[in-house]
Amino acid sequence: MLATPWVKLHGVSTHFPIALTVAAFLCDFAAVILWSRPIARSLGVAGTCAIVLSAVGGIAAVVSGVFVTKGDLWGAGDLGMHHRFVWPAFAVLVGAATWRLKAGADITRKPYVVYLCVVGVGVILTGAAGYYGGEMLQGLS
Amino acid sequence: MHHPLLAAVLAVALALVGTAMLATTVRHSAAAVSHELPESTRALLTAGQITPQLVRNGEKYYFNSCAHCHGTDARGDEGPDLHGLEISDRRIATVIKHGIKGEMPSFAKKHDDADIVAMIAYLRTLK
Repeated sequence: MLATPWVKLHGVSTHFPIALTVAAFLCDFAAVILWSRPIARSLGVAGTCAIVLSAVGGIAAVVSGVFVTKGDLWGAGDLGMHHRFVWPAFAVLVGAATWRLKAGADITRKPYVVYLCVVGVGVILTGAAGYYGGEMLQGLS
Repeated sequence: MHHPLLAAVLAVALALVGTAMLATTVRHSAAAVSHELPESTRALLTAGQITPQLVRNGEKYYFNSCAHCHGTDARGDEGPDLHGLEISDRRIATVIKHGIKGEMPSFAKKHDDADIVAMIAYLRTLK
């Protein structure tokens, strides 16, 4: 794998959705648990910021990744496994961030819990995509 | 647009379609770049004992570690075409183990000697 600027950008940008999706999940999970307390609203705002930045980072990761693979959206071996998780993760992040922004702060607890479950799935998918992305670089020195 | 779920679905569709369109454009421009063929050097060693099982194992390792750069058909992509390699088994093993600075990573930590032998066996079937 040549160390092109796209490879470097991909390496940098992929870590934002991985970390921020976990942060969003934790903030929103705490917000659901502490629903009746004033801090829940602040946690919800933090969760919103995290999921939106995660989606923005995901777009940067996907665009740079498309250039790294020269437009190959599936591939074989570790790359194929990476993509199996990347595409649903990308869809979940963009969808969750858009829903969160449109829904605003005045949402009831039930859709919030459903949203939290979706973000939880996003955490698993981005983690798995990151794992197989790392497997491709195993041994890279 | 006031319904958040509809907005989310539309955003996902837009993101995925946009990615597919970008990938198509990148694929077409990348196809214009010619594949680099390996430097033709004297074959020093023969392939040795190549069994069907060894080749199958090698193919599996190839798909896991090599296909994303050399192509699923090993005809080359970012890396060169691997058909009809005219370099020795030892040279192939060295490249897989130590990589090529700035061009190819080392796979010494991921694949042991037995894996590399299997990969060489598979590569030797590519004529």
